[in-house]
Parts: sequence; structure tokens; C-alpha cells
Amino acid sequence: MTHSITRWLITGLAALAPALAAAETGVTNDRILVGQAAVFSGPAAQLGIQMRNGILSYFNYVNERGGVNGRKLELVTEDDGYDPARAQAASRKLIEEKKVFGLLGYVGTPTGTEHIKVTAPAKVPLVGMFTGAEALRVPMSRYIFHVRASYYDETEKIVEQVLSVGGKKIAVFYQDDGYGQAGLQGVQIAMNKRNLKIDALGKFERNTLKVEEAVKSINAVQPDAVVMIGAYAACAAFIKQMKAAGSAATFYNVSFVGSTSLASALGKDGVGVAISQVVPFPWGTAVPVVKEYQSAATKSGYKDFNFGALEGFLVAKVFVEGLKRTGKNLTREGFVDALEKMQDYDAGGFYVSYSPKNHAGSKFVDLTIISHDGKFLR
Amino acid sequence: MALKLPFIGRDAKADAKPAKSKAQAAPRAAGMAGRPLPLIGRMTTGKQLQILTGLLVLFLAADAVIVALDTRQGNFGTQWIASVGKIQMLSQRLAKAAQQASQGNREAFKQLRESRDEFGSLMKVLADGGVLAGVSLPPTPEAVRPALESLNREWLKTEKNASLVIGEEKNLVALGQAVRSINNNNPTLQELADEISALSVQQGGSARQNQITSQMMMLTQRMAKNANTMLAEEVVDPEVAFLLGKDTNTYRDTLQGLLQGSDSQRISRVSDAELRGKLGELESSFKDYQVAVANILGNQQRLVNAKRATRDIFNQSENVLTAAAQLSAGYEKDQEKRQVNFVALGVVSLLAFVMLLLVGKVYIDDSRHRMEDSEKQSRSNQDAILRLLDEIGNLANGDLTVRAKVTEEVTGAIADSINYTIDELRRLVTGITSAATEVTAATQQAQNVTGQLLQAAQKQSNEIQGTGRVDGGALSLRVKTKTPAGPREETVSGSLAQAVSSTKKG
Repeated sequence: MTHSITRWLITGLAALAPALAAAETGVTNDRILVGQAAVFSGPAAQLGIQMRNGILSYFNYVNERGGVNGRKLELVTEDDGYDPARAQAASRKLIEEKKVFGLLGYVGTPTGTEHIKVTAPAKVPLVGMFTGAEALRVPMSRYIFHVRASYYDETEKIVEQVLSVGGKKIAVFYQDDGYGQAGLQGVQIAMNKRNLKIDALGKFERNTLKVEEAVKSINAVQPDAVVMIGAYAACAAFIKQMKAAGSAATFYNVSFVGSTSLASALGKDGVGVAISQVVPFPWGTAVPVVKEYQSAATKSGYKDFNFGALEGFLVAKVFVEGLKRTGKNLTREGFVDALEKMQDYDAGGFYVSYSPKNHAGSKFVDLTIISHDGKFLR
Repeated sequence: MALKLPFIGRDAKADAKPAKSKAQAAPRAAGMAGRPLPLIGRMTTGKQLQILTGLLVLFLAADAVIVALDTRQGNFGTQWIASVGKIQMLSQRLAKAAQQASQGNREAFKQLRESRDEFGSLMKVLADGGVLAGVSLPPTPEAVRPALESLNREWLKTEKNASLVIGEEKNLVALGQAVRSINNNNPTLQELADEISALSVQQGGSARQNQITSQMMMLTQRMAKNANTMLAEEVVDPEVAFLLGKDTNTYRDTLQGLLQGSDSQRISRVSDAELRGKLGELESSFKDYQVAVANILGNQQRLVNAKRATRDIFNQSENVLTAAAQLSAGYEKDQEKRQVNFVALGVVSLLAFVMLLLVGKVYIDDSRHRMEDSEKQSRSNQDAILRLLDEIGNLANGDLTVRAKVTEEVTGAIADSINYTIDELRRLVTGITSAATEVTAATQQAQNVTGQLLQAAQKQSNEIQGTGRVDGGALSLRVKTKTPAGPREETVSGSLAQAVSSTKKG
């Protein structure tokens, strides 16, 4: 009884607080509206969908426990179709029409670079972008926080792995845009560091499956390994065609590819395809946050665990942690300050660190490979 | 005629015997005996015997050749089939050796090389011929070639793969050693990792540090397992190599992180001296380990190729075996052709035997012929004489138109002489007849003249009687008649005698 009275009092006070503190956009007494502009259609749709499912899993989990400071989290999404031309409008819509407090779980490099042209000047905090491109990290924006390692971290790990398993000839297959360039740049840096050169290049247009030219130019050098900077549909098409052409190369993808989507698109051809990951292994239970994710996702009805959703889950968790640390008086600036003070935040075996000079968040990279039964091994 | 003549003398003697021997021989030899042989039957006995004996020798020689050939063929067949048996054995040995070799077993390489070389040389002998077990074998016969070709196709694949494995000997042996070194190092590594993990917990290390050190224990096991799997398994799983490489890197990074601290791994530098000592030991042990793993992974492609080749050899060994079995069956079937030899041997032997019989038959026939000939001769002589007598029977009755037939028989010459005689006789008689006719004609004429003279004389006498000078005139008439028509009645008989003598002379 006393407990419920206390709760009532708190809720009552909380309801008064925003009114006193000139309420922030998207924040009411019982609700925080956040937005996600990502890809929900086209050949890369799964990337946005998985991300959203992960976010929703965690939001549901938090909301079930009363939300953050009594405010329930609400997510509005906007589809940018993984099309840079639609990106700015999508973000603007979220900010201006939907009037969200903050943004999270964005997907993609070329779209991301367009999105931040709207979000950063609007001083709307954006947490967690499903991209590791350097262009979104440097120069650092006060309003953008990353939860994952960069593509440079991933490609460095991949190159190290290729060389340590005896690979000599390395080719790069990349999407012909900012994302692909970022990955290619990463491979280049890792190779230069070791005084090595990339043996062949092949590229394809975003949102297409036109990989024939790339197959031709890359298979011509018979590489030991191909580092792939693309999304699952095109990457799967490329791998299949390479294997059909008799290539014995090992294929390495960066996390953005969409691991489970790639594995299911490849089917039998997926065996031995490696993917670098920037979040823990979603099927294990040794890492506490993964266990948390699994139970939350299951409760929300997302029974197929995957890397993308776990990343969404982690992004949501970091976002919520920021909200918590900001406190009752929630403002965008306060939220950014709270995040910048977040040092060594343990999200459950996954660590995130921010500072006013560093918004990279994590350098965690793990390598996984698709096994014979289509599962991931790490 | 001249040939038969000498036998004539035996006719009388053989006269009784043929009748007897004929009676015995005829029913026994029925169709064959006595009948002349086809083709050569018209030749002389000597020639026939020569030919038959020649054929007999020929057939016996052919028999000998067939036996020799058959023995040779039998010998080849045995060698071929034995070679295929050896090939079958080698295909299994090869597969086994390749499997062992791909796991870096040095001894297996020796076996593999030997098996491959022996297999190859056997195939070469089968294809091109050559000396095998002291027997100089000819190339495999055409009929068995297709089976040999199909075995050869399988063999070439196996040979290629075997050579590939052999070519990787150095690397594969090195790999075997690397894995052995990992296995040797592993207990030490595991023990150290175990101690470090325990020590970290005992000394109240951070949760992260405890987690990392216990992870190192897991990694030690997994690396050893994967290294062994890579070498032992038939197929090199990409994931095995991948994890081996990844684990080695993680292990190295973790060790470094613990010793020096790492931001990216969120590991702080271990400060405890005892723990640091153990970590140092682990680091030095791990160095060998790392070299071994790098060796394995660096030669991964070779290992993959060798394994694939080994697997292919194994998979093909069944095909090789089948093809070899078919080849063996082919040789056996080819050996069945030796039945033809046996048949030929039988036929030729039979022919030789027939020749022997024919030689006998020719001999017997010959003697019988001789007997029959003399018998026939005497009979025909008899007949000829009778016929001659028959023919000239009418001669006795004065028929000079009779002619004896001149034959080649004994009586031919006699008939000829008789005919000559008859001819002469006939000519004589004809001459006499024509002379008689002439005399008759002349007599008639003389009669006519005489008649006329008589008439004339009567007329004259009548006239003389009328004139008186009758004596003178009668004398001159006598002279006159003497010249053209002969004298009168008395004188006519004189001139007939004269005509007969002139006819005689003509």
C-alpha cells in the first residue's frame, strides 16, 4: 500500500517536472518518442528490420518494467529504402513532423552521410548507426554516438585472419559508394601496414545484383581471399557466381552484410564464408547481454536470433542507459552530456565508452564463419 | 598301253585271286574303297602318295605349331591375369598409403611411391608388352583393349593424384611434424593455462581477467583439436582452418594483453609477479606452438590439395578395382579363345589321321587297281580276239567287203593286217573281172567282124563261081582277117588264149 502511494507521488511529481522544465521535443510525462530511419524495403530490407526488432525487444523489456523515469519508450520508423536521395527527407520527417526526442538504429553509410546532414545541424542526438564508415565518425559530431567498431577495425581483423590462415592473394569486392569505399579504405590501410597490396578489385551498384563484372575481374587473379564490402543480396550473388566459376577463395564479409540473411541467401554455398562481427555471438549464452537479448526478443516474438537484432538491442540499451543517466529532466543536450560521460559502460559483457572526444563506443570485433549446417561458428 | 603291258603277264596268275578278294573287300569298303580320291584321284599313285604324305607332314607340323602357340597364349594369359591381380592389390595399397601420406606419415610416402611406380610399370607392360616374371609379354590383344583403356583412364586420374600427394611430401611431412609438435606442447600449454586461470581467481583478479584466462584454457584445447582435425580429416573444413587461425591470434593477443595491457581488448596489465612468471612461461611455450600453427595454415592450400587428391584416390580406388576386375575378366575371356586352339588341334589331328588313312587307301586301291586292270586286260584281249574272229567270219565265205575294226587292243594290229590282205584280194578279183569283161567285148566284136567276113566271103564265092579266079582271092582273105578281127573260128580260140594272157599280165 505504502509502495503504491509512493509510486503515485513519484508519478505525480514526474508529471509536473517537464512542465516546469520547458518540456523537450518528443518527451512527455509518460512517453519518450524516438525515431529510426532505416531501410525497410528493397534488397537490404532485412538490415533495417532486424535492427528495429532488436530495438523493440529492448524497448518492450524496459517498458514492461515501467519505462525510463516513468516514461515509456515509443519508436517511430521511417523507410529510406537504402537510398541516399530519400535519407534527408526521412530524417526531416522524423524530426519535424513526428517530433522525436532522439534517433537511433540508423542503417547504412551512404544514407547515413545524408541523414546526419539533417540530424546533426538539428542537434538531435543519434545513437547507434549500423555502419562502421569513417565518414560518419570523422570529423566527430557532438550529436552522433556509435555503438559498434568501425569498418577499419573490422577490415584490420579480417586481413590479420586472412594472412594467419595462409592467404596470400587478397581481392576486394565492394559496393560502389561511401560504404564500399570505407571498407576498401580499411583493407587498404591494413594491407599497407603490412606492406602488402590488394590483388584485384571488383565493384557493384548499390541495390543491384549486377556482380558479373566483379566476378570476372576478381576470379581472374584466383585470390585466396575476397574481402567483401556489400549487403547480403549482392554478396550472396557474388559468392555463388565465384564458386560456380570454380574459385577456391575464402570470402570475408564485414558485419554490415547482414549475417543471417547472407547465410540463408547462400544456403549450401555459405559453408566457409566468414563474417566479421561487432557484437557478441547472438546464439551463445556466455555473454550476459546476449542472454538478456534472447529472452527479451523471445518475449517480443522474435524467435530468430541474429547479429542485426542484437546490435539493435545493444543500441537501444546504450540509448536507454543514456536516458537513465540523464535523469528525470530529459533534454537532448543533457542526454548528450550524459553519454559523453559514459566510461566503460558494461552492457553485459559488451563494453561501451564515450568521451567528449570519442564517440566510437566500441572496438569489439569478432570473426565468425558459416559452418556446414549453416550455423555460425566463432 | 606301254604302262599296262608289263602287268599283262600277271593276269593269268591273278585271275583267281581278284574274284576272292573282291568278294571280301567290296561289302566292307562299300562306297569309299576303290573309288578314286577327289581332285587328286586322277593323278598317279606315286603322286597321290606324295601329296598325301606331304599333307600328313603338314598337318602334323600344324599340330605342333598349334600346341606351341597355345602354350604361349596360356602363359601370356596367366601373366596378364596375375598382373591385373597385382594391380588390384596396388590400387588398395595406393589408397591406403595416400591416406597415411596426407597425414604426414613418412613411411607411407615410400609405399605410395612404390605402389605408384609398380602400378605404372604394370600398366605399361600390359599396354605395350614387355618382360614380366621372365616372360616376354606381347601387348594386350585388341579384344581386351577397351577394358585396358578404361582401367588406364582410371589409373591416369589416380596417378595424377598420387603424384600430387608425392609432390607435397616435404610439406605434408612438415605438417605432420607441426601437428606432433602441437600435440607435444599441448599438455604444457594446458597445464600453464590451468594454473594461470586458477591463480587469477585466487589472487582476486578482475572478472574480465578471470574470464579471459579461463577462455585461454578453452582455446588451448580447441587449437590442438583443430590442428589434429586438419591433418586427420579427409576434407579440410574451411571452418577448422579458420578457427585455428583465429584462435591462435586471439591467444596471442590475449597473452599480450595480459602481459602488457590492451585497451581494445579491455584487458589491464597483470601486475602479480607469480602470475606474470607463469604468463611468461606460457608465452615462450606458445611460440613453438604458434610457429607450428603458422606452418600448418601457411601450407593449408597444399594440405587441401593433397587431401582432395587423397580423397579422389580413395574414391577412384573402387573404380580402379572395378575396371581391373573387368580387365581380368577380359583376359579370361580372351583365354577362352584357346578353345579355338583345341578345336583347331582336333581338326588338324583328324585331318592328319585322315591323310594317314588315305595313304593306306591309296595303297590298297592301287594294288586292287592293278589286279582289276590285268583282269580287265585279259578279258578285253579275249573279247577283242572273239570280236575279230566274228568280224572276219564272212571272209571265209568270200566276202571281201568285210573290215576288221582297228582298236587299241591287242588285236588291233592283227585287224590291220587282215584288212590289208582283204584289200589286196579285192583289188585282184576286181582286176580279173574287168579283164574278163574286156575279153567278152572283144570276142563279140570279132564275132561281128567274122559274121561280116563270112557274108562277104559267101558273096565273093558266089561272084567267083561266077568269074573263075577263086583260089587267089581266098588266100588274101586269110591274111586280111588275121589283122583286124582275128582268124575265123579256129583262129578265134587262139586269140582268146592271147587275151587271157594279156589280162593276166595286166
